[in-house]
Amino acid sequence: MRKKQPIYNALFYVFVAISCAPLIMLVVLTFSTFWPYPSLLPEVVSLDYYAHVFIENRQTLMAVVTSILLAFFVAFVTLIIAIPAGKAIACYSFKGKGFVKMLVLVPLIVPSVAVIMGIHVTMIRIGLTGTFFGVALIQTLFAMPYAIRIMTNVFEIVGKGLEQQASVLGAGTATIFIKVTLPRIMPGILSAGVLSFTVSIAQYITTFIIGGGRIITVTMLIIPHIQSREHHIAAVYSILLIVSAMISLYLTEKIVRRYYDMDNVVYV
Amino acid sequence: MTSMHVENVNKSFGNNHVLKNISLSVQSGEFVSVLGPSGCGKTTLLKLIAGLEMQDSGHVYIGGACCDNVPARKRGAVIVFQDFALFPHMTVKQNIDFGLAVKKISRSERERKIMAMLDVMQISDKAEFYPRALSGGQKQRVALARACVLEPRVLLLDEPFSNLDPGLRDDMREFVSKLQRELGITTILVTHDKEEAFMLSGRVAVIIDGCLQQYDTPENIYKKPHTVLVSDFIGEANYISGMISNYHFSCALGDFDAAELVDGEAKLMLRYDQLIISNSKGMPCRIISKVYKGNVTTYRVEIEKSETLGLPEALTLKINSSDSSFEPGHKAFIRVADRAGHVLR
Ligand SMILES: Nc1ncnc2c1ncn2[C@@H]1O[C@H](COP(=O)(O)OP(=O)(O)OP(=O)(O)O)[C@@H](O)[C@H]1O
Ligand SMILES: [Mg+2]
Repeated sequence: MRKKQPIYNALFYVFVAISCAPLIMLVVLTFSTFWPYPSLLPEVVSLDYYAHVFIENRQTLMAVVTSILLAFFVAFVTLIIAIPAGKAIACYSFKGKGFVKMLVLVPLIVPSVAVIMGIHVTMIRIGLTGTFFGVALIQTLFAMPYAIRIMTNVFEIVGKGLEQQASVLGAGTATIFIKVTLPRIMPGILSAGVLSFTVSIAQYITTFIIGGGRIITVTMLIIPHIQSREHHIAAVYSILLIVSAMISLYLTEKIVRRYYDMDNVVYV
Repeated sequence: MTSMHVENVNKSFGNNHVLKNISLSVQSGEFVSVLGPSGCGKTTLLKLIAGLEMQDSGHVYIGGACCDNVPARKRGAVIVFQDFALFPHMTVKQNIDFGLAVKKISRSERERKIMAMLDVMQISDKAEFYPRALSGGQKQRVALARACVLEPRVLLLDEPFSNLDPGLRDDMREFVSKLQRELGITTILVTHDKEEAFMLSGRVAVIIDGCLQQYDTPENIYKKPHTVLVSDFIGEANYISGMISNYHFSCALGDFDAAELVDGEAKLMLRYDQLIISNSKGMPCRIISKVYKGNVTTYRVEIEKSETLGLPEALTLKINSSDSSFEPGHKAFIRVADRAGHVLR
């Protein structure tokens, strides 16, 4: 660790506190059964809301599992497409490259409801609505722009040099990918994966429309509570979502880091 | 032991015609340098030979066999890149092992070869280090080891010394030269540094503007360039106009042999160190200026115009001399060094 000046240290913690404040509020909210307006702290503290979420509501566990599985699946499918796409955009020159680069970003620019409505009809026709796979597919669409963007930049930075070196040393395409390219782009893959994961976790409208009420994620459980002004319960679900997502990502990175030597991506 | 030929090779990137009809042959075990200014297509030429780029027309032969359709990994032409391109996530040993592992050689055999190569490169103590923990010179040795351990049919070196400090550069040049002689690998080195090319190789190919200008021994390239273009690229020189008739060139400084050229106007090229300045012998001249550079002093002198000598105008020449005793404004004498003077068009 480098020694920092005290003033920078102080600034650092102030910023940390500012960024954490909403999160702390969220935690406090989950315990406070009675918290009238002028008082600084809740007057009655209990685990009632947790009881509601974990014991009374049978859907909770299933929703967490669905959310996490869905997020992993979306991240996986997104990466399968984004890695070769990023490579192509970064390293090869082809006609209409600029147009393709822009096209990739379109799902972010066009309002998502418009995109979903268009696809909804097709999905109904081929029977993908209300299925895990259908929801995953539509979420992949929204994760893709970020992932392709990241992978393109990663391939641009990594370049072709090492791959060319490997090929003159006698390695074939598969060997080069596994032994040279993959370890080099792993941090990018993790970043893109994490981003896709969070995009999926946060999706509401897509899950709602394409899932048709049959695919229940934690986000799906949160929104109705917010609409009916039950902020405390929504807060518990949010904490649950954050914790389970963080644990999943942390474990994933741990596992990946056992095989690849690189700097931290998810946690510091 | 393998020879290498490039035959009438052309390569363009879009409208940029980088290599124009290049033909080059390198004999088995020979050390050849390709010399040219930055951006003249040297790296591109190496990539064509290695199979990393495809030429638009022409052929590449390695060991007498045309390998236009042989992929890079099967050509046995290994490039050592300018930036060494070490695999950053592998140790020195794993780096060197990379090409061997692909070849499916037994583990013990690989181990033996790696150890021997580490020893040759004098980096045995660095075997378990990662590239980021190595100095520039050590990185280069690893890159060389990784290439040489495969016993490549052709070794291609892309400006291997340009990333090193000047002191280290000289050491590594000597090291590489010795290594090449010991291993006897057919080697092509690409550089824009003429000193390096002259020092290391038996023959030098000068490429300027995408054309192979001259392919010759270092001495001939320096003293007998075919064109002013090559001569200028290699170093500063005086050019004195004159005429060739009957294979003899004559100008104000005398007559010179021009056996290979047809009659007509031509120029005599004299490097600054091919003229001798003295107090007694040669043509009288006046010293105009003097620049002292330590081991040499560069004088600018003027020979007065004289109809009898065939000089319609005063002739200005530059001379390098180890004698720094002449002063501007004084008179002196100059003459052409023995056997110096080269006639070109
Ligand atoms: N992949 C490519 N696409 C387009 N142009 C290229 C490509 N590779 C090289 N060029 C162009 O070809 C020319 C020659 O490049 P090259 O790298 O062979 O030069 P060089 O002689 O090795 O230069 P240097 O001494 O600076 O390394 C340059 O003008 C370069 O811009
Ligand atoms: Mg180059």
